[in-house]
Amino acid sequence: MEAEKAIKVKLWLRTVGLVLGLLLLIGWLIGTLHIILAPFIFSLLLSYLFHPTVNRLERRGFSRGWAIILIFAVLFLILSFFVLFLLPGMIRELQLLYTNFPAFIFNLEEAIKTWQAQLAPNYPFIARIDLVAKLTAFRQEVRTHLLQVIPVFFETLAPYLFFIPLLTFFLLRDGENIRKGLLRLVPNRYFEMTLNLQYHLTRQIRNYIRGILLDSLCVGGITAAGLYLMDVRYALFLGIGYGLANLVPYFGPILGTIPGIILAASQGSFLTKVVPVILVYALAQFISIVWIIPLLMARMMKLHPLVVIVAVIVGGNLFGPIGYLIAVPATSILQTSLRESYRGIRSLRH
Amino acid sequence: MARDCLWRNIFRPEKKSEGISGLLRSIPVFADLKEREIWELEQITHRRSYKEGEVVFHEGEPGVGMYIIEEGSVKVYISSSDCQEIELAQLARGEFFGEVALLEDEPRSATVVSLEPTTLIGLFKPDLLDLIDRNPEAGVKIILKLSQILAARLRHTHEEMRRMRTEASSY
Repeated sequence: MEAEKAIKVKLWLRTVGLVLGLLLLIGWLIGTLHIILAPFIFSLLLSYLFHPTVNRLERRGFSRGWAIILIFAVLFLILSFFVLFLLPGMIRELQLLYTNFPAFIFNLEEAIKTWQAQLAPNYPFIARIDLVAKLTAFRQEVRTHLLQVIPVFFETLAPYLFFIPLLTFFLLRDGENIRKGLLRLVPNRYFEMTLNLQYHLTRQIRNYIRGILLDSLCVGGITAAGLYLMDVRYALFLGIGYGLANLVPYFGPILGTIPGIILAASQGSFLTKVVPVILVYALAQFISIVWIIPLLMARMMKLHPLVVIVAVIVGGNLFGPIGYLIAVPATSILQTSLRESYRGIRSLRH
Repeated sequence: MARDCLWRNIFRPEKKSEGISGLLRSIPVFADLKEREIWELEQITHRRSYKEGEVVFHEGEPGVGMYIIEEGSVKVYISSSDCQEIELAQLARGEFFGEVALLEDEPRSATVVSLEPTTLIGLFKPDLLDLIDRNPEAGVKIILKLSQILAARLRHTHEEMRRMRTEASSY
């Protein structure tokens, strides 16, 4: 009895070590090779996203290959619509933003000066902070940085535009064969446990990706529409930015409001512009929390909010922007792996 | 060499042998499935090889699926309270076991061990759920067939019990 218990503990420790080692290896790979791995991860996420739609089309009698081609064709049409009808407007907004940037900073500097002058008699330490100089330095930094970053961004993006659709196509078409091939490597003793674990993890990741992308799409759409109705300039940009920020739990929705509030402050008074903008962001979050998240993501990540916050901080510090995005699914994978392997090993016999 | 083996294992689809589809068709319960449904079923199976004396699963372990014997033979047994083996059956090519695990989450009710080098075709719940999602018609047909096996086995058990009761009362 004691010997059996010792064997079980040893087996469990070995499996936990293996799972942790594998996750650390994946983490290290993401950290060091994220530039090369980025298109692969992105394709994997896209394949998870489109997998249910491919299945639905297969159910309607399409072959898998044709189902994928049909989805790609619809996506191509949507992208064409975006490029033809929305992109010119976005470029105009971007040009306007770039042209108005000095005037916007000047307005902000003036506002800060007035604010400092009003507060200085009561709080003398405020006068000692040279906020205007800091803002001027920031303006210079943004300009030089933008001029350097934009060409590099498009240079990096170009090969992705070719590789991502190709990789996504093959992952959607041959994903099942690759999965079966990997499972063939698992020893008989751990086969059923691994198959079960893989099923739970895949379902969890798939639901999370679909949920968070749909949530961000809704939040971004509501924000863009709301800001447009409030006559806030660059509404489309702010909406897209807020949708992307929403991909990072807790921090994203809060930090994502900053650009909108600053831009609104430069376009009008606190009451006429800033308050409506804050209300639009609040409405988008309200709809997300009350309606979208319970509907789409309630069953997905059973993680305590504190665990999510710690995971996002650690992920962001270790892996940068990718870390912020993968922190929650990675933590959830770790939790499910440990729980399922513990359950599996506990019931194994020798 | 090792890398080549790994590469072959992961990226080459399982050999489309007549074996699996032929074997599935030879089992009465799957016999009247259409060609396409047999193909769907074949896609979600896993071929596993076992050495002589290797345990397929132990009594009391959680199970997620059933096995069909493609080559070789297995022994099914349970352990008595004094740790003695009580053999229930010996199964050979074309026979199957563990199908209850496809329908419920209870632990395995017996231990199965291979009697010689054996190849098994595994059909597991996660893959079956995935098939139901992709092709509900084929999925439901397979589930229905499995339910028919269980119903037949339950009927057989009832008949055995009735026979044993009659025998016991006649003593």
